[in-house]
Amino acid sequence: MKPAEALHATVPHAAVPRATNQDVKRFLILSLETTCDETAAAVLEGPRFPATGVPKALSSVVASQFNLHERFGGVVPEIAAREHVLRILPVVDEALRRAEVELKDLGAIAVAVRPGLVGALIVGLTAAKALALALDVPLVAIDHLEGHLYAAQMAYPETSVYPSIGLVVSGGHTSLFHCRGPIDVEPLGGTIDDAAGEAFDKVASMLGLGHPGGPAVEKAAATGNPRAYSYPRAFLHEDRLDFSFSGLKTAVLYTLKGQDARSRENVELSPGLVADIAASFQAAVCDILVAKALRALRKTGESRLIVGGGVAANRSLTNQLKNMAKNENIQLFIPPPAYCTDNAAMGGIAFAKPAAGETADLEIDVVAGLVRGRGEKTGGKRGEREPGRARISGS
Amino acid sequence: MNRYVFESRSENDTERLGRSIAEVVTPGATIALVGPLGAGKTRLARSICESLGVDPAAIASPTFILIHEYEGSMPIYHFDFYRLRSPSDLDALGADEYFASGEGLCLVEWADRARERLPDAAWTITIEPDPDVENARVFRIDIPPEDSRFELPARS
Repeated sequence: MKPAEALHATVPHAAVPRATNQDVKRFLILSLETTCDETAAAVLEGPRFPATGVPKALSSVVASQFNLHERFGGVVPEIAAREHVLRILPVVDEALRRAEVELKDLGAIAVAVRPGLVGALIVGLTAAKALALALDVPLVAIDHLEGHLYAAQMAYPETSVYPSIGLVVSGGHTSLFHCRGPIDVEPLGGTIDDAAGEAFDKVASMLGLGHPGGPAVEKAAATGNPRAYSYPRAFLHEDRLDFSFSGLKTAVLYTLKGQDARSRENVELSPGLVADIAASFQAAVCDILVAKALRALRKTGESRLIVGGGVAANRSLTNQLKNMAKNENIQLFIPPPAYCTDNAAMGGIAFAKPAAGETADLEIDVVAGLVRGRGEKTGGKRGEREPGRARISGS
Repeated sequence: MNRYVFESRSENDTERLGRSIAEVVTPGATIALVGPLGAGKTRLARSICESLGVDPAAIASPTFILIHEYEGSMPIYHFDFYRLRSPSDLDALGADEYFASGEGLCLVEWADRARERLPDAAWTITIEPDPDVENARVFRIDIPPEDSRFELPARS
């Protein structure tokens, strides 16, 4: 079963009460996600403002996870904004179809406006603005990283996962947050070079493993010795809550070059060697992530840890996190894999925004840059402006 | 092009090189950073940016979103072409506008993936790890003759 279908299957149609325009208590939001490679849409059903509660995903569609190739005839490139343009409407249609709702049933449109690739963000935001304008419903701008963390709340609707430490670990992000609530999130630290998932991808490439790199390295590591190589664990014993994976990547490079110092090319690698390097690399990444998460928990005194992002699907990491949580008496919340990787269902965080009086006006712009430690931003070309905020009206 | 060769034996050496580059670059310059995974492209970019006054916490690998912008003593545009499938992907990014604007310093990791799109006056820094010595690397710096102010740093 594909992840998007698995996600959908967790919410059988028959079990979900249908919301309609006449239903004053239930509220439907269409959520769009185009921050990077994935074009995703979800229909979410939750309590109507000012009631609060955790929404359910009636549908969650990620373009790369269902077969668009028949529709477009070919492989879909990853990064070009034009691909989002091609995919966004079919993905929205599919999300509405699977949720068995129509555009007129929607009460608001949510869209991730930061951080991400500028061209990609603009496609999602433009589509969201057009829908909000045409349907005369509020637009809700959400932060992709807050969404990744909120995915844990959606996965555990019966328990509050806040206040907590949030760890987002993916191809583009490796960041720790102090989460006092869904949208009261303070950055504690982040990577100063590569993201953890990026390091997995690049090491997979160095080892001649396939894509995506995370699962490829994990698979190769399964038969390897994690203590075969003693790779660096940057900042492990430092108080700072930042990450660095470039030295680790370079150490792997030297292992490869060291196999044949005379050669400028990597020698042919035996499967055993690849397994040992992969296992040792993975162990170093996991040690760093677990140690820094624990340090953040101790520093803040929080007793809950929520984890989001694609690397949270790595079983070595989840096992190490579970052990740590058990030993330290920490409540650990990790969503299922389909909620960890980029998806639009995590846009359920949008339900927390109108409740806090936050919707966006139609003038808002995207913010490409990552919101990084100590509150600084690396602005994107269009990143000078914060997402606009206006009081919710007409609800 | 004038070629300078710098053998770095440590991160300190790489930082010195970054400082030397930062002292002579002017807004509008483009520096191509070329080398294999783990060579130290982001590390050198970080040294240049920090020497130009960028907040160290703001600097990271731009592989994911392809470009980061930093505020230093001049604007810095930190590109990463690692994920490009073809040079035409740069059109969506508006890269030409950044190169042509003359407003800031463009640092381009994995520039060899779209070399023909870089300005003619771009510097090229090729980084090659020394396979025999851990953390040793050779920087080959190719600079247009009109940029004559650059001097190699002393090694620590």
